[in-house]
Amino acid sequence: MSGEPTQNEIALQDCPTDGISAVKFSNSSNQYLLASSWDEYVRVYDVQQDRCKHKFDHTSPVLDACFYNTTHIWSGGADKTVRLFDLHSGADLRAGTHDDAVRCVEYIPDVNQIVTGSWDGNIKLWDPRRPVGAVSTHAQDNKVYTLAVCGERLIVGTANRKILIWDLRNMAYVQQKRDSSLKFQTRAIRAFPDLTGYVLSSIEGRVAVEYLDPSPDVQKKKYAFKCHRTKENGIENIYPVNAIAFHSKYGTFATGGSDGFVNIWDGNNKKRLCQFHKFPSSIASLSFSPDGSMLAIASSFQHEYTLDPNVEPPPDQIFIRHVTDQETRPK
Amino acid sequence: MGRKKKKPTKPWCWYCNREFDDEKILIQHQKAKHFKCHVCHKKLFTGPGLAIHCMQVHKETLDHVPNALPNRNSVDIEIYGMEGIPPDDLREHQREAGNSNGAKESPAAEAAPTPAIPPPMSHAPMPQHHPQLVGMPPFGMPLGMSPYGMPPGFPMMPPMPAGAMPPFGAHMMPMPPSGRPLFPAAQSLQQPAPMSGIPVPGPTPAVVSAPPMPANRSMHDVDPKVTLSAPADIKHWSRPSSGLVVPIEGTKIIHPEQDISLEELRMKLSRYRRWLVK
Repeated sequence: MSGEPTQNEIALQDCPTDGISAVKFSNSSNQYLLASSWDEYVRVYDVQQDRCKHKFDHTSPVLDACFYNTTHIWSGGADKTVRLFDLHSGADLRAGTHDDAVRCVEYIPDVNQIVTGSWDGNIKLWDPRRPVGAVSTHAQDNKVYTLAVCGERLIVGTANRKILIWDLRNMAYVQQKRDSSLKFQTRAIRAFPDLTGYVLSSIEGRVAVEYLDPSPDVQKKKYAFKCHRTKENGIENIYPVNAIAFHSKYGTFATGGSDGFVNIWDGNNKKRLCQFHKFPSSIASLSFSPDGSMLAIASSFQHEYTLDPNVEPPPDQIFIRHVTDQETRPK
Repeated sequence: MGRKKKKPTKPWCWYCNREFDDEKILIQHQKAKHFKCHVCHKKLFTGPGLAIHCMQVHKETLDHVPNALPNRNSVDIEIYGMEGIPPDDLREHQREAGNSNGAKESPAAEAAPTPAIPPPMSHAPMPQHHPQLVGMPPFGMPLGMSPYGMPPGFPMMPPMPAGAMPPFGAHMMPMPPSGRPLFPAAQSLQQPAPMSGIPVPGPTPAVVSAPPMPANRSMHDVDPKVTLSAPADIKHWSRPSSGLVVPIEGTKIIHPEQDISLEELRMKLSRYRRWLVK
């Protein structure tokens, strides 16, 4: 259990045994949550029964995964493959490959496709109904570190701090290419539920709120703020902000950092709504349930610093926290 | 030790010799006139701070403080309000002020309990070639000055008489007839409004020089009222609006030095190395 277990929070049983790369709720069900891990497995949990229902072997560290629907899961890993798993039959299928590790896997409901991003510098689109090879491949500026689905658009963050905005209706060219407004490496991007913009985080305890519309009037509204920092003996420790998750109903968002904290922000009013207790290790991934009543929190060491070999590494854990309106609704 | 009571000299701006009723207003003036970046209109706290900002953010070298008198435009001297003014200039200004104001502001007229005896000035440097000193007795200047000439607590204080100031930039930037308001309040509105909860950095998260706040600030030579009000205001301004960042030296980013993602770095650990792309 965590340092400060609370009544409205449970730590899932049968957690991954190595670093957790992603936790994601099902698109439609508040009951199912997937977790991808460096232990080479993708697990599916029934969070209501606190039980690991399925466990699929990706045969290499899994860097990301997503639900396609309630019965199918896609994953991507260090072995460069993109796989899908059938929850009912237990069957798995190799859909195709990238030329380097697959870092991001997301489902795009608006066009019913899967998108993957890789360190080979490409994104690929896949048809989940015909999972034999990618539909198309699109070169990015550099290694893909993160990507966000924003309606019919894709927002891709690359290693060289570029942000590429693609329109899925015309993938012949990139719609917008921007430099990250943050000075340090891009860590995560997630789109607003109202599809007008996105939130971007960097390894340097900072988060930017940005808008897609390039007109100066709209761009004027963008801003950035510092977070996930602690002061110790006069030195300010600045932590990577690894995870962002939007509350689909309220448009507020949670950020998780390597400081082990989760904050919930109201981006429109530029306010922090709450901060949860410190988790045992870095927050690697966050996901709100579709109805916004729960937040899945992956607490997992990410080798931000070299561990003392004599010290037991902090456990990899997934917490399911029941969040209240007070914690997530704009005031 | 029998020090003389201070004569209330008005706060004045070292850069343009303007006098102000209040050090707060003086600081506002300095930020608006002398410490404002001509590129992004960000208001910095000191001349050196502005120079560093221009260099780091806009890659421009700033060789003089804007809107300053030709011999008072050095970007190397850290001045904030009345703090950091070279002591010779301070003395000289007070001498001038004493001259023009005559006996009205003499210590005797202030009901000061101590008699107005000129303190010993053996350590003070001789005033040098200043036309307005005609008629001043050589040691008659010390209204309100420390008997030792050098008040403690001034940062970066070149012990240099005003006449010996290097006249660099003498041909540039005479005080322009200002077409803009002296305190362009409207400009500050362009900056994101400070808000509670989320600190908004300015347009750049670059290092901003902090205002000089010597810990052992001298209380002797400035009107105590002014002195006490200043630090509170500095705190108030420096937090939300300026993006004041703790200098990089005081921070530590918890991330490996190499600027690649944590996942790529992790892949290099021995137990995952077999997955590395050759």
